[in-house]
Amino acid sequence: MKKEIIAACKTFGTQIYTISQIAGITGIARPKVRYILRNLETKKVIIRFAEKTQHSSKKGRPWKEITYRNTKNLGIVERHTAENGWDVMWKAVRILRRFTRSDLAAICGQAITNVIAFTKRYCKSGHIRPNKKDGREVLWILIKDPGPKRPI
Amino acid sequence: MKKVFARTSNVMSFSAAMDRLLHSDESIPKMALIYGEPGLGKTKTAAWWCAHNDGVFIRTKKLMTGRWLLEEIVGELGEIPEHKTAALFRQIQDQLFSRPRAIFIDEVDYLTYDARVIETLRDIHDITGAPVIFIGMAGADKKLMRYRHLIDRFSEIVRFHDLTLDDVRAIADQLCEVKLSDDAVEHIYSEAKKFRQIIVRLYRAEAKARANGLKEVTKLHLIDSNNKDR
Repeated sequence: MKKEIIAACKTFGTQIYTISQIAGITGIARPKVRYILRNLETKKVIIRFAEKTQHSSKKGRPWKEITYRNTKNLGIVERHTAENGWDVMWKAVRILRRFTRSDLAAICGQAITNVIAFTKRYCKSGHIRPNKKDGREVLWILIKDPGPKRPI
Repeated sequence: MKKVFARTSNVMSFSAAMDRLLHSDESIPKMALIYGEPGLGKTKTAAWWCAHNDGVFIRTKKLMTGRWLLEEIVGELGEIPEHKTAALFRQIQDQLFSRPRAIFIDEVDYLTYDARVIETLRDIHDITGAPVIFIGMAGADKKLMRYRHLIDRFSEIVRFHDLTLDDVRAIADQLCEVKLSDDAVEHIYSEAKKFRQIIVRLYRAEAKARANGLKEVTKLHLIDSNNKDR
């Protein structure tokens, strides 16, 4: 349910949106949408842009229509685990830019099997690429650098 | 060949200098200069240190301006760079106050012609107290000589020198999977002084030992394999 709401929020990009709009897109009950958006607001993933008290024409008490706006952190997976070998390797890759698997294993103190898994994973995601398909001492090049935080 | 980082005398002196820099008294300036000929492993040693400690590594470029450098530092500190230069400086300040980290500036030779950039780095060090380490090529010390107040702040200056016989022995012991006799080590030292050249010779020694089932490789084995290669 949370994933659907985040996806709906993302469709608005930098524009503002209301709880009713999100409820309309997802088809989820308004109180549940309000609860999840409030949680996202406390995590500072979205920000409250404005709120307006709506008076019902018939019966019932007035209700609030809250307007939200996305921040850049929406949808980014937060790390909750301690730094591991892959983080160390990511740091080294960003410094070296061009490296061999042996370089990475030696500098980071990682097992060669772990280095192979790391390079395969980030080659698949398009962050690094080898200079040749196979052979001895393949040189890997960093081609996409999203920053010091390791992309997950 | 074992996949470990060889601790040569250069690496040990770098490591010792970093330890002194990080654990020195508050009154002692925390700037350092690492310099030496190319191919001696300055950048790899800094990468090794950064990978295992909290460090920020900036590789300078020939066309780098002060603003560009500040943007790079902000990016490396994990923030999105602001538009104004003053705001960039404030971002660096805030980040380093909240989490002090060592800043490595590689290829500092490129910046020696621009006093404003060098002075900005000095400002960052003076205001935040974060260690700033310059890495340069041979002669970087002479190029920086004209910034007297900067030279005064270098509490550690480490020169990376050519590998010694002891270094070759240490590399062979740490990386090579076969035992090398003393005369074999001396032979390698007489032929090669740079790290990569030594590694090539150690590879050959390992291959020779594997092919012939040797427990120890001597000078004679190495000369023999050299002659066959020719």
